[in-house]
Amino acid sequence: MVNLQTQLAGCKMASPLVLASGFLGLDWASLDRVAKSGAAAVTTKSCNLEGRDGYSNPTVLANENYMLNAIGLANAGIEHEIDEISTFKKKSQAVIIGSIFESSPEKFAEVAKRISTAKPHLIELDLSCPHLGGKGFENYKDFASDPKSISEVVKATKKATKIPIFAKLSPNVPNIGELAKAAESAGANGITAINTAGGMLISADFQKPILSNKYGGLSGPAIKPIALKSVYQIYESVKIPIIGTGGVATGEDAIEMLLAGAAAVGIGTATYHRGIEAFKLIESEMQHWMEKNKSGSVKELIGKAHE
Amino acid sequence: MDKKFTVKIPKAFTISRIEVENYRVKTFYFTESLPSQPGQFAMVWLPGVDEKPMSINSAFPFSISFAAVGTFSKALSNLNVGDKVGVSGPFGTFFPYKGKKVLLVGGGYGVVPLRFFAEEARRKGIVCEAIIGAKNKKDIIFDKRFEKEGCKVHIATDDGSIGFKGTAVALAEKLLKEEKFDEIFSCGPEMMMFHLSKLGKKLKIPTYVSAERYMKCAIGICGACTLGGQMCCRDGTVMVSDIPLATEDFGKFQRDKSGKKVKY
Repeated sequence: MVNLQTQLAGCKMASPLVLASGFLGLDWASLDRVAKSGAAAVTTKSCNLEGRDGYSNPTVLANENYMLNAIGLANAGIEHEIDEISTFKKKSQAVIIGSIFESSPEKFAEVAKRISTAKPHLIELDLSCPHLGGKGFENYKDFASDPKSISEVVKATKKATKIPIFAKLSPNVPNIGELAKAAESAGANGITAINTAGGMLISADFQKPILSNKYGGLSGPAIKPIALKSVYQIYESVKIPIIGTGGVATGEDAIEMLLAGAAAVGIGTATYHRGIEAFKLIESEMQHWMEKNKSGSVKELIGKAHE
Repeated sequence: MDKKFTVKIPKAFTISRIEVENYRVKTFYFTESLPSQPGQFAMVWLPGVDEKPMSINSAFPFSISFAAVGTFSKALSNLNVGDKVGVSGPFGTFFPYKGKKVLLVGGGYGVVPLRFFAEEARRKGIVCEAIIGAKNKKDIIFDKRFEKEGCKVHIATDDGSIGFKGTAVALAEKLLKEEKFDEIFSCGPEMMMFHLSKLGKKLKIPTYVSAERYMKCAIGICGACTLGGQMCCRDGTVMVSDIPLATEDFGKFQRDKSGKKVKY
């Protein structure tokens, strides 16, 4: 038997598979279903203080190679999130990661403080939504684009909560390793990488951008090489654990993410291509790979491509 | 990959014919076809306006029937023959071909996928009877179309302006006492489907509903249309009623665009 157990900032997980933020995480019932389908940890849809309607449709486009989304961080606000996380914790033993976003370090700290009352195991800072705008976010700048901004948000949230903080980083930067270093120095307990890559689709039929927001975030198999490179670079720069996310659709993809340096692996778009069953399928494919390659544990695979 | 998924990138479909069903419902027929089954939906995109799920009225050629009630459907209603809309799909589940005799219960323009079923059922030798429910006479649509597919049609209106005076569920209860049906298929307002599901359970008749929530992605990933963890867009819209009845949500509350609960 191979050992799939892993750890994130002291948080023990039965396997490295994590539901990535933004997928199916609106209510406790969806998160519980994903946990029952084989995710060792689930991440909520990102929330902020007031909530947002998100953008008009089309918000999601997808084919066999990728998904492009500009949902626009729709969420029902922090109070709703606290209810859903609290209910989830009563119903499930799985690890739950509360994802939050806001427009300033002070507001980030306020959401972190409030969400902590629901006691998620970890808090993830969505620092880098590549397509954020609208009410309250008119002058939104991507916090993940420079070390100083990342540091300010991480420091502010660390002061507001005792729950471990993971900083979610963007691939839309020249050197992601430096940015991970800034998060670590500011006190982050881990890194999630990557958020989606900026992209757009244009309809030749209508000669117009398709997403109502024009620009969106690209995920799925098309971005796996970008995710691997980012995780590899971050692993060279920091000691804190990494949730490697981006284009993982099979067990072999997940193994590659571990080899690049991830301690856990985020799954999102694979739920489109393979259904919610993706978690169980990927887990069993990882086991097969590990047995075939005489690899006893996930722990020994983490960062092995660096040796 | 091992699981079937539907590409969601709109292609232009051209309106070839328009039929006016009543004071606010129109049917658009398109030049193109969309291989699909009764109960499935397409995402229809009007560039610069919005993109919405629309129940499929027919596959060959593709057609949709809709009421002009909101910003999107009013804009759609203003289009003419020769105009183009963006279409992707089909998405979601569909009504099964299992029973020999099926009772179809449609509320308002919920009759659309049921008529599609009646058309397919006739080819497969399944007998259908249809209950069409609405507020009053002027909201009844598709009675002639169901008859064309060989269905016996029963009408219920809240004000009794035509047919049975009362709800479609009350009429269904009456009919189910007189006749035996293998299954009940339903599409319409949630409270109608909720009460019909409870009736089906009481009478031990398998009941299928077309469950709906505010939809965004259409492909089961964004979570907006969660019905107690079931994604209406991918696990539904057609579900055997035991599934929604087991949730805390069905018949109790829906969710707005942000995900906030809104009580019925």
